[in-house]
Amino acid sequence: MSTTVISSAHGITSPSSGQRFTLPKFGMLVFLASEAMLFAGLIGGYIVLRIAQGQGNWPPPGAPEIGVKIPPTFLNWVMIANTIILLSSSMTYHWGEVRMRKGGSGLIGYALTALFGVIFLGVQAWEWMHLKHEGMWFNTYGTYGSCFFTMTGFHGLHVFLGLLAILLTVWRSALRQMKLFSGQTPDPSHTFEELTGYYWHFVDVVWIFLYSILYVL
Amino acid sequence: MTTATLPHAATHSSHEHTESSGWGKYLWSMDHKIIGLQYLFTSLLFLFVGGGLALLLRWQLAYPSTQVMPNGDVGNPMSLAFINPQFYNSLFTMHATVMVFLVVMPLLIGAFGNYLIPLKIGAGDMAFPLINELSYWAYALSGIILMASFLVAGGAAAGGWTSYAPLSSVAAYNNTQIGQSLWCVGIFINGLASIMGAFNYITTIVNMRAPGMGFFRMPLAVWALFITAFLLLLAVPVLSAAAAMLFLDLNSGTNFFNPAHGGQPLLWQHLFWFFGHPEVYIMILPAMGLVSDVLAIFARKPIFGYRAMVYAMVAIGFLGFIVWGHHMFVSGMNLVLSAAFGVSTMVIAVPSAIKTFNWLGTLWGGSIRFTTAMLNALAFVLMFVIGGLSGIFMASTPVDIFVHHTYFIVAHIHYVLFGGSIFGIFAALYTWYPKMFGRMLDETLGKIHFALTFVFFNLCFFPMHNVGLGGMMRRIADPTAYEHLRALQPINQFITLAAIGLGFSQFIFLWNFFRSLKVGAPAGNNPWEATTLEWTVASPPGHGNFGTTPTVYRGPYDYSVPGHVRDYIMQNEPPISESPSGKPKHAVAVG
Amino acid sequence: METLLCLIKDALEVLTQSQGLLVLFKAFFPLTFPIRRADVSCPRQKAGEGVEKWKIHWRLLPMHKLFGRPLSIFITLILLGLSSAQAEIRETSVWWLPRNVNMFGHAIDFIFYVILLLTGVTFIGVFSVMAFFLVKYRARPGVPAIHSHGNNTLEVVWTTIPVFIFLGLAIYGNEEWSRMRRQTPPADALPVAVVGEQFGWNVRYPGADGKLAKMDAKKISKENPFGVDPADQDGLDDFTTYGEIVFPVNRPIRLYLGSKDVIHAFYVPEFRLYQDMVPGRVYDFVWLKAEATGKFQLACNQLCGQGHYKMFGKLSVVPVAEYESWAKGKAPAPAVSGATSGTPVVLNQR
Ligand code: HEA
Ligand code: HEA
Ligand code: CUA
Ligand SMILES: [Cu+2]
Repeated sequence: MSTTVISSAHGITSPSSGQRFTLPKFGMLVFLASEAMLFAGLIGGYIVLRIAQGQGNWPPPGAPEIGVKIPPTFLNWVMIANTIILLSSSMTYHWGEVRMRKGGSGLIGYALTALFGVIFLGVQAWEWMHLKHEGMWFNTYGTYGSCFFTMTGFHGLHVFLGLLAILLTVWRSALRQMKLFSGQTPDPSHTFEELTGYYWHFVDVVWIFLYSILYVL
Repeated sequence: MTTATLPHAATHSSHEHTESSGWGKYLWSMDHKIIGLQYLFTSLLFLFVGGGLALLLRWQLAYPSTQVMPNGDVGNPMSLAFINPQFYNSLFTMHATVMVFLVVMPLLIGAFGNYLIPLKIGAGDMAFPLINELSYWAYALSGIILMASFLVAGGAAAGGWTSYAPLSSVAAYNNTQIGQSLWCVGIFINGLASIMGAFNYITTIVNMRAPGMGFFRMPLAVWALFITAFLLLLAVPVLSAAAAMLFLDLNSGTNFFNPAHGGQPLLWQHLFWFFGHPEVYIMILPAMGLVSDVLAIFARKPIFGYRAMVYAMVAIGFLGFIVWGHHMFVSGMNLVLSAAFGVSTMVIAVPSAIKTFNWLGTLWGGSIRFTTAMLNALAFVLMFVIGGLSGIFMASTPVDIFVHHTYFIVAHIHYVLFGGSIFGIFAALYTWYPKMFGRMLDETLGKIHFALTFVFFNLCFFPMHNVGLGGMMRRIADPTAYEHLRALQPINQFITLAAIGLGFSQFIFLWNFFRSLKVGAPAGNNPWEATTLEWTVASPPGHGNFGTTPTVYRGPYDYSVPGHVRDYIMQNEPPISESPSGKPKHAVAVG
Repeated sequence: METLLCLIKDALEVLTQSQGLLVLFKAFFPLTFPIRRADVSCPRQKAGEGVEKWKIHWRLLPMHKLFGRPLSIFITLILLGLSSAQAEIRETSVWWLPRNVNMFGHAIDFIFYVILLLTGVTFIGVFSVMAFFLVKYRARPGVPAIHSHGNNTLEVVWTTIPVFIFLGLAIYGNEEWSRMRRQTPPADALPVAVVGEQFGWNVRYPGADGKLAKMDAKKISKENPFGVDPADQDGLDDFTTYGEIVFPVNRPIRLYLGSKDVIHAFYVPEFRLYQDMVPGRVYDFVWLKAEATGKFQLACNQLCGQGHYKMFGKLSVVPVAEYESWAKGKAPAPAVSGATSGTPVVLNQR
């Protein structure tokens, strides 16, 4: 279903009329406000629970160390690297988009993004297994385990959904690369790529928040 | 912005697949009007389900089945013996869940929002028809899940619609693990539907208004739905997060709300009410907007203080996010915080006052036509005032110490939600039914329905103030278990009888509704002689709504303009100055 | 202002206690009150009178036998107002608030009446203006509506007045709120601990030393409902009851509220008192002073499971001497005792 058709049909929202956003982009931004509230709810809950535990009880005694230490532990290094990977995936995506706008396919940028996304999820899964092995899970260490796994889980779910969209962009740019679109480009405004980009950047920003409160602060 | 003519072909090709015939047209269509009707019919069905649950619980309250006589008989020959205390708890939990999430929200926002927003702002459809349709199916799915939860082992959720933890979050305490989990799932999916609707509406209203339709030329119904959409957008995800946490607590052993392992029961209450209070305004604002339109139409007057009305609604929207603590005055929350929430709650009553007075102002000097729609709208104003005023008692922290969790609250709930939202919905249905189905509802049946509903409603819910002040608690399966409530039992029986009357009066409405589909008088484009854009097109409007995108020249309420032959000027009529003879130029676009 | 309110209150009381309203209301009851338990007396009833009144005469009107249940309901509805009722209901307090016996109740009732006056006047105002407009401005041929878009002065007026009224109410209410809930209880208050559980009440009284053992919410468990330290000297002479509370009259009482499992609530309408008891905490800020003796019922007023509807306790306020002799008769309880048991809940009576 291509919604751009409708918007341009009304003659008031097509990019040419000087509007900053097309309908889908506008809708995506509004939707992301809602997503932000979802994470705000989770983070708010986290803050309440953490304060209720009192000073010195977070992480609870005996829980595996995930907070950043000086010097950093092995797990710290892994998660720092993982964070950098996720953040750079935003940049590669942007690079892909720039290339695409210049008439290229952006395939390399998108493919790198997908790769980074997969790595991020993989490391995330590894970390979960690692912590589970150490005895930390949804139901251990009181609210500490609950918060950690639920919040990273929710974020991971979002990364996963974003990744599906990224894979679609990769597919589309591969087609473009191979010039398989006979003659016309189906979507000259690259709406799909742009929406995916918004979503992906949003997921990254959320991770910055989660990383800081779960690992650093 | 240009007055671009709508290229017919373009719109149609984008909708081609929705033009299939037969039932598929009604099931899979992406036309906002069809989706609106889907919402309408589904939620009317649920109104009867929710009402049926209410009648069952009312019966139990009047003739409780929990009393066992010395001789072993069930104490009360009138009792429905299958209602045990646990089932009673499921009854009111699901009654409220159904009414709130499957009736009032979908009716106001899903049905009227979908049907009227594009028509009133001069758009061909919603911004995202596919998401619109998905939203409906998510809603339907949540309804199915919530209904199915009656059948699972342990029965449906029984922790109240507020699902306070740790009762709701620990299976050993509530004995309804599956039911409560399904409740979480249902609420989560229902939330998805709301969010999809919300960003769709916002996008549509911001971007797709017809040329000339400035924000301050939008009818108040659109304004109300616009603000409501923001409330949905920002409040519902918080409930979704909370429902997910509750689900995990129940099923994965997390400890968010379990005090035994460091969890915070009050956290649930904060998250729930952070959603819950905006939620009650979500349920009243659209009704306020629709009723404003109805009052203007049938008083033949512009809305008194249009801008004040808009600002009042914006204020309600904002303030709605900072008063949630008034549900928690006596929950053991920080006592200073309680005081602060008390003040903000008092403040939020002010915009409601503004709205009330402006409605009265709209009636002043009017030429009031007492149609069924108008009667329902007037009842809305009056009943909302009663409900709102009872809110003032609870907003006062000391008085809440006494009335919290009594039937005084139940009376408040129903005055604002039935007396407010449902009367608003009836007013809107009687007004826009002709637009939706091309036929008029029967006015005589309508007036009988209105009179019976109005009388039984008050007989049913007004005495609840009294039993509440008499000390009757909410959510008890058997008031006669308490010595101090036994004397109140006759009043409880009276309330039940009135509730039955109220319930059965609705069949008149149902009869009228379905009969008129076939035999109602043809409506024509504009049966009420109203001004807004939806009345410029055929009833029901064709696919794509407007043949050509209308151009808007004036505000939404140009009724009784002096020096004009008709007492209304459509929004798309060019300024009168173009016809100096005093005869208005009719430029009504016929759809 | 105060006199006016008192007048209204008196008038309401006269009205509600007179037979007038009751007779009117009875007219609506062809169905009789179906509780046949004559063995219980009503706490709010004046002593000695009317235990018989609880007897049901509902066989006097065997409508459901004659017509079947659904039909009899229908007939009942039809008969509304036509028949006179057989229901024997309590002669006082069916209407309106129950009597108040708590020191703080006066302030609550007073604010209640202030708000009632305000909202009552507002409602009557709104209602009469509306009724007047509806009659005066009904559609009549040849009389056009006035074209008006509003009036800014009016907007300002009817925004400002409610702002002041509401702020006044909020400020006054908060003052009373702090007096009730945030003031430290007097030092000589009798400490009483009440811990709810599904579905009953654990109550702990101080012994001769007048001191309760210190409660720690974290230690509350099945065996240790009050979460006390067994070695706590203050606790050695404490005694406990299950579901039975006795308060001495005219003496401040400081409550320590807690819960073993889910949220319960301490609610006594005659005390104008409600407080949730959230597990994981002990609330020590609630205090009260009963000003009259009598028997009351303590109700759990927070949904707490299937037995919620009958999680009640006995509560009586007695003269000080009586309280003391009652307390003397109680044996000190070990700090940590065997599990107490809640009221069993029967799901299916059949
Ligand atoms: C549509 C729904 C709706 C609406 C609009 C409202 C509106 C209001 N509500 Fe209500 N409320 C509910 C639905 C709603 N509520 C529900 C469902 C619950 C129970 C939830 C549960 O526990 O299950 C609840 C519970 C609830 C509580 C918690 C009670 C308790 O549990 O102890 C409180 C406390 O402050 C409250 C207050 C108010 C106030 C102050 C308003 C105000 O917005 C009302 C403002 C309106 C007016 C005041 C009338 C018009 C004004 C005038 C005519 C002006 C002049 C007036 C004066 C000068 C006095 N509500
Ligand atoms: C929009 C919201 C809404 C609406 C419309 C209603 C409508 C009604 N409500 Fe409800 N109610 C709530 C929202 C609503 N309620 C909420 C939020 C609560 C709090 C729950 C909680 O504590 O958790 C509540 C709680 C509540 C209680 C308190 C229960 C308790 O605390 O123990 C009671 C008791 O009388 C009650 C009664 C009624 C009645 C008699 C109606 C009547 O208006 C219903 C009239 C009937 C119909 C309109 C339908 C007609 C149907 C038939 C004639 C039968 C058809 C039969 C089948 C399909 C099976 N409601
Ligand atoms: Cu304990 Cu309700
Ligand atoms: Cu509220």
